[in-house]
Amino acid sequence: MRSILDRYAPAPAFDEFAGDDGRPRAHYEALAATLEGITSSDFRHRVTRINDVLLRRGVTFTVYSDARGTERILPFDLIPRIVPAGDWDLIARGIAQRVLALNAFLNDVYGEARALRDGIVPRELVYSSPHYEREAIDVRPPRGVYVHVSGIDLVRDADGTFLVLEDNVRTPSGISYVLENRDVLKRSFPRLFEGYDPLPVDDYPRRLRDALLASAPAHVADPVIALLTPGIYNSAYFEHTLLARRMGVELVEGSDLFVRDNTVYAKTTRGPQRIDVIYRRVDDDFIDPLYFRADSGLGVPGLFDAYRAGNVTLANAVGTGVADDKAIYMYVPAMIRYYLGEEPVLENVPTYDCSVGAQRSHVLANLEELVVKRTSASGGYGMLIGPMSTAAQRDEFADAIRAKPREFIAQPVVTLSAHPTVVEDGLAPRHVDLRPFALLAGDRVDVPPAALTRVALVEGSLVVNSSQGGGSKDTWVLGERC
Amino acid sequence: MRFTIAHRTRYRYPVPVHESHTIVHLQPRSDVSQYCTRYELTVAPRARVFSYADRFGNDVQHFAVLPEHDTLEVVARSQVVTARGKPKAPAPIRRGEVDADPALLDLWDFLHESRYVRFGAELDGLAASIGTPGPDDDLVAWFRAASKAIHDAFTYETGTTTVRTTVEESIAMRRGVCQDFAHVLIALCRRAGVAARYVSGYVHSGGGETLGAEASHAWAEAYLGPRGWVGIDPTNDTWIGDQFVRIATGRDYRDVSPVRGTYVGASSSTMSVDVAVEALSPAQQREPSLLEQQEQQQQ
Amino acid sequence: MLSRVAESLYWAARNVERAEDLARLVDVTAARAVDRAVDAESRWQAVYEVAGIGGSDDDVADRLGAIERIVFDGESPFSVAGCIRIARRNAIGVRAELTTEIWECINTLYLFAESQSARAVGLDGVSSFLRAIRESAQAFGGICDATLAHEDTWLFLRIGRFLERAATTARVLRGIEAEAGPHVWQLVLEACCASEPYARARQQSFDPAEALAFLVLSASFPRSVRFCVREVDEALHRLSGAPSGTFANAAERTSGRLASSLAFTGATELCEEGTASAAARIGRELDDLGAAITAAYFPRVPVG
Repeated sequence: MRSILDRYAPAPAFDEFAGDDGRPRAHYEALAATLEGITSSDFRHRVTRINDVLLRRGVTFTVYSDARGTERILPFDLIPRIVPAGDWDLIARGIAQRVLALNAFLNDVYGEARALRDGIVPRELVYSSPHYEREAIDVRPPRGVYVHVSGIDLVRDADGTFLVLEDNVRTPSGISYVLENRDVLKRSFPRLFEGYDPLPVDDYPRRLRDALLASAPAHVADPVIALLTPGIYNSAYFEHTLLARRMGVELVEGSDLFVRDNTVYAKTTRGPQRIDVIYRRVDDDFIDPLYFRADSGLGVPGLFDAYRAGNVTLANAVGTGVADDKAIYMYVPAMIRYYLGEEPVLENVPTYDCSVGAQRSHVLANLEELVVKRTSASGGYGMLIGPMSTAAQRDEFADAIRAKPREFIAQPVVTLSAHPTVVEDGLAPRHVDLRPFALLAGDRVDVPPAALTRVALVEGSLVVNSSQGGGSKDTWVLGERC
Repeated sequence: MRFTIAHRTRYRYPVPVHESHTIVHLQPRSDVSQYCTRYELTVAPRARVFSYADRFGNDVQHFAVLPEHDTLEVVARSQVVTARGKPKAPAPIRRGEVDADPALLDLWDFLHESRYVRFGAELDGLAASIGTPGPDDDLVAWFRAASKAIHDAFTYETGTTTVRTTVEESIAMRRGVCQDFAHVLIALCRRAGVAARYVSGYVHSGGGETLGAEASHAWAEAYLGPRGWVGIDPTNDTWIGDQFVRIATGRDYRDVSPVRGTYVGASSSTMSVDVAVEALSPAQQREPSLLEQQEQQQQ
Repeated sequence: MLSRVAESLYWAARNVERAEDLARLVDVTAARAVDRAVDAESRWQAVYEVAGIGGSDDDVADRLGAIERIVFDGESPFSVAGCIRIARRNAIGVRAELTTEIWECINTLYLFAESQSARAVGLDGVSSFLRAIRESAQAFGGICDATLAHEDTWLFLRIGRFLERAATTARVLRGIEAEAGPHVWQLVLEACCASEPYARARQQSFDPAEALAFLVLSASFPRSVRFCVREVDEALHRLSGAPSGTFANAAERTSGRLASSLAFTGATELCEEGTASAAARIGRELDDLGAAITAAYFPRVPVG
């Protein structure tokens, strides 16, 4: 009987599992001991069975590039990623700090715009950001909360230092995988948990609910929450249903709501039901055809009027996209110093702003070594990974950068840390990132120990997005005791 | 001058519609050069009207009619006193002086393309015929020349363009209505680096040949540093004087469209608009209603 | 509850019931058509009528093709697989209202139906395929009853289930000719799962009037029109809280009127009206009830 660990060779990157001596790091020792006794065929068998369970449960996302809108499960990898208490403490502090700074920036940029006058963030970048929402100017959301929910992506460089790769403060998704992965792993492979007591993830929906209630309009005594989904064809629809069920709130589509006298109501079998807080998973552009895209059938006409009047909380607030613009990302450390008077706990990945002449020249001269990203894109679309690109692709990007420099940034290639992952013949290192989810309740940030580890299943790939062949892992955040 | 204005918009739907939401920009502004003494909006079917000030300082009303209905009528009546005097050119101002104005930093939106004000090859051609103002050139003269160029080259003709016609399209046709003229002038300014905005309002014909009277009118304003925002009407090629009433300003038509909205139901509708602008002599106290005016016109 | 959700629950239940009823009808018809005691062609035509598919002689001759269209054609809203697809589509839209067990039942049923085709199962495999469908559909009803609080969600599912069941019984009866012999009646009873309950309840050796009365007027047989209408009426009253015998909206008035009319109809009276015409009338009354429910609970324009 051959152990699945036998042939594991650490990656030429920071290996989460194995230390420099090739032996398991302290927090992986118990897991390694369990894995010793398991064969590869047993493993493959379990992987197949788990994927069947996920399909039956409907834990799927929709692949847009596929014309038929095929439902696919996000491939689940059996080997959990373990985050020791010390690392988590750093991450949680860094994320909380960043969320507070981003929220302060949004209050400022849609209000007095002090940071623009003081030169902390270039005006030009804000005004030219496609997600700078002019309708939101001078419209203060209830209790000043913009970023109720965020998913900030972290990676580790070759030394294992955690860096912020990007901020997601519009409608970040992925929490359903965190909840389902833990549930499935506990049921199908309880042995793996021997020697561990990871912090539970299943109270995330309650904590989300608490955060949403904390930002309800002040005059409402008994706020009613609804989760607004674009509908069953949205790639994250499963997540919307899961969260609505676990929070015990109504899952609504735009056509289920209407606005009368600047107040939002749901159309129910017992007549109109007032709605006070909307956790919306519909982008700004689509929430209200009166003020945003007129061709949107996903939104609610008049919703923005109710929001402007302060009668409904939209989570996240309208206009947050300007804060996760990939060019404005460069200035988040400066925001932390400016608004909070603190040094950043988590550093950024060094970034070149192509709209600045000197930086653009450097980028154009070094495309082969850089990752180029579109400032307003997400989901791993529209990227150039220099070292893996063809000359034709580089030429194409160079032209695009020269034509519209504001739409691009570039970063040195960060060799993401790697983690043992199930492959055809055992385990092999695959690159991973980490997306903790943070909740802003009033002026307090809650970072539940429920983080998503995404893994690039293709050997050598650095792109972990589900749309680009990524999978996910259960992520164990260890408490102080471990 | 003192005006009374009645502006009626009526929609008819072949099949009843429901859940209609409407936003209106019909309330004349009150500022240093004009004052709105009365404003009243009536809606049929009856609806509760809400009001807010948008980021341009316009007073905006909105309302919803939720039950089924097959007509929607919006009537705005207002009384405005203007104090601009005769149309006249402001004192000359060097471009260099305007460019040095720090206020320009916050006018980004009026210096760049917007939904209806887009740059393109047609605009480049038109701009070449006017020339770009240099640091020592007088922007007042340049602004007037740009307006005159449009006025001379374009034919005013209703029905050739729609509310969605782009700048490129109207330049190609060399025709359009006041909205198109204003958009083209704004595009010329912004392309030359001069901040410019769209103004919707009314113009009183005063018995003469004034284009765009008896309807919603539109023109352009440019930001000329120490001279402030300066208005010009390319449709009539005149500086803005007493006979103009300003309703709202914005980046382009989209920000200030008089009546727009959404509804659920039939895909088609017909719209009719009647506008009456009447100058009052100081002695006149009570203004005639729209209906009476229509009767008077028929006499 | 959201009106859209209520409507989706209602249609999910209707379509699961329809898939079950149609699966049973096809299975019974296929089996009876073999022994030649009945006119196979007219029976298959009757199946088409019940399903709402316009049939032709060609289809009947090509048995496998007919089965494909009426059972497996997932694109058609009238086939067994099509009903399951629609039911799942509705269930997805109300995923947050359903228990995980209900959802997994309907999703598994869908994945199973999608994975099959007439060619794959062949004529010999059709019966066992249909049995599997029937069982899963019945499990759906059972899981709903056993895992949901018996409140609004459950009530809308129940209204859909029983209204569709009543409508199917009426549609099956509509296809019976006046001169139909005992073999046709036997087929119809089996198609309504009533053969054994009827045998136990019957007074005489066989009497068409008695069979008709059993399928329409029985107070205790769960597929009779009267039984189903009473269930719908009760569910509607539980929704509004109005006492039985009164009404709070037009839907309850319609269901109450229909329920009492069925309760006070005699077997002879029904027989004199004629099977097909009585069934057609009842079908129309059930359509009116469906429309009244839609107007009361799933209105297009916001009210109140």
